[in-house]
Amino acid sequence: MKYRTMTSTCGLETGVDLNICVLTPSECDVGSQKCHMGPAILSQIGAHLGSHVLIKFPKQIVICSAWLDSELQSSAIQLDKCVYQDLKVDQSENSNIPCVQIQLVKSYRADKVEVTVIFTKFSDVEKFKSEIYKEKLKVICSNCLWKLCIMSNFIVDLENTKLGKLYGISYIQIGNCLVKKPGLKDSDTVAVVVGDDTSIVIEEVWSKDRFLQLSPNTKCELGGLEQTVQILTDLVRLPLERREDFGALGVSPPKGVLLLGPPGCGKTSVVKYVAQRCNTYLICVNGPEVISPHPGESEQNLRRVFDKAISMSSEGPCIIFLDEIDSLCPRKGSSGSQEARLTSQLLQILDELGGTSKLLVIGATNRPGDLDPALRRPGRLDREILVSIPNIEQRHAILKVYTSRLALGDDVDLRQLSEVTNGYVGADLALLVQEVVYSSLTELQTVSEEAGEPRITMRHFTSALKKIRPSLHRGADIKTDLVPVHWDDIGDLAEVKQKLIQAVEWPLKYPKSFEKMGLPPPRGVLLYGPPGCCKTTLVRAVATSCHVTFLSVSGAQLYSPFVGQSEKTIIEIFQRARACAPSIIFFDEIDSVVGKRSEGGSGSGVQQRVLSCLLNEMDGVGVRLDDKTGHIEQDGVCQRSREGEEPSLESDSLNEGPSSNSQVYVIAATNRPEMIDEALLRPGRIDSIIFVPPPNKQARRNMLSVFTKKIPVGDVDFDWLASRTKYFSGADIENLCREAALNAITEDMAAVTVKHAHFTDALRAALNAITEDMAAVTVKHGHFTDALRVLKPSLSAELIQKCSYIKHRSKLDLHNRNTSRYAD
Amino acid sequence: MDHEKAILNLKKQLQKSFHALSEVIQIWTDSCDRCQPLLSTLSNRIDQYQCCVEAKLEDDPVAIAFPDLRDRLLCNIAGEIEEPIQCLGEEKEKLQATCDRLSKLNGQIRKQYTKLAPVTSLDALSTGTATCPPMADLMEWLMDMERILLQQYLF
Repeated sequence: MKYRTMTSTCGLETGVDLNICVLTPSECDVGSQKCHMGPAILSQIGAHLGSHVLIKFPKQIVICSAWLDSELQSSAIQLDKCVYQDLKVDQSENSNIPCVQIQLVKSYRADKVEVTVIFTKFSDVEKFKSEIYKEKLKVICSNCLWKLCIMSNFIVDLENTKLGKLYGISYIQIGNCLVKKPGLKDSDTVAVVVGDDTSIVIEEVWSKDRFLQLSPNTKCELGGLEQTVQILTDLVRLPLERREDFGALGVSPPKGVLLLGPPGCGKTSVVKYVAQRCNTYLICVNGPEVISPHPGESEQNLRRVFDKAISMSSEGPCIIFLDEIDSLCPRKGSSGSQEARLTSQLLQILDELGGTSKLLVIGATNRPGDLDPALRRPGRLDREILVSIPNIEQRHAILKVYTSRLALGDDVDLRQLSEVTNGYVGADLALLVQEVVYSSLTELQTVSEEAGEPRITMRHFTSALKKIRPSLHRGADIKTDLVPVHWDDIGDLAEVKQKLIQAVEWPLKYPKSFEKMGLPPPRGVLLYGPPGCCKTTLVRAVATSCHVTFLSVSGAQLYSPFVGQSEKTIIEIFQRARACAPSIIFFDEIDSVVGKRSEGGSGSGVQQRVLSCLLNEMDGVGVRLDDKTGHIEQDGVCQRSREGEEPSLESDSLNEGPSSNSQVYVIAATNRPEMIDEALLRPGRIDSIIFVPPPNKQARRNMLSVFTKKIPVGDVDFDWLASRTKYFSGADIENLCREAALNAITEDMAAVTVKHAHFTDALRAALNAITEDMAAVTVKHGHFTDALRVLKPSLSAELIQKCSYIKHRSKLDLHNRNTSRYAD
Repeated sequence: MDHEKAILNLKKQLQKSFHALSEVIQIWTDSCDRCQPLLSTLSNRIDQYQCCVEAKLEDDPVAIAFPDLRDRLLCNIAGEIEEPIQCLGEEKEKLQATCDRLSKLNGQIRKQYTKLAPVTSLDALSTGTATCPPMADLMEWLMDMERILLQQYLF
């Protein structure tokens, strides 16, 4: 059945727009098609008593016969909506103020009317589909429609009428109406009245459930899942359209599909969308609805649902959708006896489905590992489709769908938004848009009656982005939030920055170039160097500039008192990173997380297990099948389309997306590189090792000016200070500035500026407190105060030497040999 | 002058139809009353028939003596069922005739009204007196009656 819109309408006069309220009819008038109106309205539209009028609402058109009710004012009509047509509401027109348009319509006596009968009960549908009852059904329809004024594609609502209840008919959908009248073309849509001599043609017999589900008012939209929709549509349509081919080839059509993917990615929506697109009846089964506490009842419920689906599929294509199938069919053995019985019942039903080609079973789960493997064998749910986290193109499409109804400002760039929302699933994006609307509404309340139309601007989106985090990051012990740092915020270290950009940012941004040169994308980066030299800040800057998922791991989160828990956490982190790829996993102070195997605590061995787990995850053989993500291919597509070409369907095979770590980068930071296991540092795992040097003279000079920005300085010679602060790390220099300011206050509470002398004092104090071998460098001078004695540089030549020793691999090996010798 | 006459005519026609309507209702109720005993007889006999079909006669000595007892009984009862059904059919036809009559009258009134409608003011149709309700209401009631009678008949 198709919902056609009216093409040309004959016998209509120009309508009258009215702002009136519509009252419900009195009980005895239900099904009478009467519309009572006051004399004013009646004369305004030029109708006589009993003449037929077309009443247009924003979402509906109703045909009525006009009658006089002198008690009604001119602002109200009493209306029985038993003959109506639902209109597809165009989003853009929705903003108009709803008003009622009344049109006088000329009606003719109908010669032939085609109808589709919708029965309330399914048993009636089966009964009246047979040829024997065809004549009887015609008489029934003729009785039901007697003296009603109808038009093509209108629906007659019989649910609350006596006759409808008597015959068990809910609705009658009118098809073509034929009138033999000179001057009328067949294609014209006219209003007709069914009389005794009208012949009725039964087009189809439907059940109410199917009819209501397929009515056009419940259309939903979907973005970014075109491939999945295509696959599912083919699965529904092919067995119907090519039934002979399937029969000739002796191949049974696919029976079941399993949708996998993290929550919120649109598994349920995609099924609903496909059901609507293919005019398919959809039965949704939720686990808890079926399961009952009494033994045997769950199985019975399940059987009942499938029986209904089978009978519905005899009427037309039908999809039975088992949402959260893991609750229905858990792994045998891991659960109680009742679940096991339910599982075997479901398997049995699936096996019995054999011949019904119009029924497709779709299961959806976000925990495929918990499913009984028997369910996933061919013949049951044989196709598996991954609905994974949307990539940039998909996010763009999703945002387009969600924002299609909003009044967006000119500065809203959906492309940019989709770039910064890596890791957001469809549901998160929906929430984001909701939050944006909400905040803009609140703003409307506070800002009163501003000129111009209220619009949603990019500012709303950026503030909402801070509030709404990807749902996949919730509930995990992993830090994901970070303070954004831009490359420009780091004054010095140009060389290190360049190396980092090369190692992390380039493979993410230009994967094509890497592919062209046959370069495998680098896997990991180690930043090492003395403490306080902005290793962590550098990583923050990387994460900020790449817009990728950022997971930060520290030893405290990793270690747990339970055996095996730490390893599990590592696996979980990598799974998460793979799911949200591209992503960066950051191990701060990696020496404390995973130590060296030879030197590691011989007692516990936890560190060793965690290390081996980490090594395995970084490049172990294969990944669990259920963690598969289709990101590699999808990103390929996204890259192509960025260059202006159409994304091709063939290359984007959702099912064959290889599981890979290639979009997961590991960044580690340490100041004790000698404590890291060599296996971790080999190429293929952590392949670029970057030394973050302590600040040189120029850098210290810059730092001094940065840190004294808020301190009122007098005649301070920064260059001299910079040259005297060798071995000072960034943190030390900050401390120096603080001490100098304190000195100034100690001298004079009312000090206005910090003078150079204060700095030299502070410096003296600092240099005084260092170790003996360093004392030679210090210049003994003037007055030392007790308070300044605590200050000393945190770096020393020895420390820097120690930290930078792996600049050359050979040196490292030598050193290792040395250290192990000492250990012996 | 003609116009007033026409309105008067319409009024008369309406009066006539309501007289006819009261007759129709009389016939309706009478025939319904007559149907009541027929229906109870019928339901009684159908019960008998049903019982006869379902009765277990296999072990009954009478049934052993007369093997075709069940068939004969059924035939008898069926014959007796025929009679009230025939009567009911006659009553039904009467009702159908009344429906048709009313429908015809209604059709005539509509025709008359359609002719008059362009020149008749709504005020004239909507004003009524204590003895004569407004014509608009009368026409609407007639329409309702036609519909209700059909529904009753089909029920």
